[in-house]
Amino acid sequence: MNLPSLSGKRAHIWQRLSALYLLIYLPYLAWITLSLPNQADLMILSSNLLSPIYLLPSLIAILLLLIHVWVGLRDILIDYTPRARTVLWLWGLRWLLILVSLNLVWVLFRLFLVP
Amino acid sequence: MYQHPGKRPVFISLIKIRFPVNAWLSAGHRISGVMLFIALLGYLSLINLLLLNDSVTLDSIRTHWILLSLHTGFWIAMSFHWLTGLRHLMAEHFTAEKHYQRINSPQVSQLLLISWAFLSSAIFYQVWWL
Repeated sequence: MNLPSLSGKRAHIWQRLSALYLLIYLPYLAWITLSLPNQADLMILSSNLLSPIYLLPSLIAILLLLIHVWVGLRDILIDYTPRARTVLWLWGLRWLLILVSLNLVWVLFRLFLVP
Repeated sequence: MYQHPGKRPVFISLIKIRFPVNAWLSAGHRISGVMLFIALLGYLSLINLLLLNDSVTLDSIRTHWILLSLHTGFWIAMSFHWLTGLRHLMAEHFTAEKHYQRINSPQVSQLLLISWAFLSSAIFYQVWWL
């Protein structure tokens, strides 16, 4: 990864697209959270968010959230880290997001596929 | 860029510079974004803990101050990020001078801050008292 290869235009488009989607999804998430019973356990919480009706919107939201995080934090690192170490920071962020993504897949697997 | 003839470093005190409200809101958008990412890592750690340790249940930690603080921080940062993000999107969409100036006016900034204060109070009440 080198700095000139990072496209600002493509990142901007993805940032806007994901922002538009999350702009609608997040009030919905707040509404779902408020409408849950206080004593709900982890399975009830996750089954609400990932029930068949909401599964696709929630999975799209998770995917777009990861893209939004990547572009947003990437811009912050490019703007504020010392130039000599920016690429190193970006690699760190990339690996952190890869680990988060793998962990998310494992969590979804454990919640829904393991009895 | 200007350079002092003696090539001495110039100290710029950020405290002495008076930024407009919009600059604070823009910086706040980034800061709240970083806070949200940290909060999401916190939630992910919590789910991992619940899945890996059978003795820990959501019921047993429901009223723990760490979890309540996580909820509070997440939703307060989220509401700020959402409101300022909405304004960013509107400013990029409505580019006609009249609309653009209105979206970036001090009145809209004040309205945004008042809305955020109201939402934050509601979040505090919802998380800590209900």
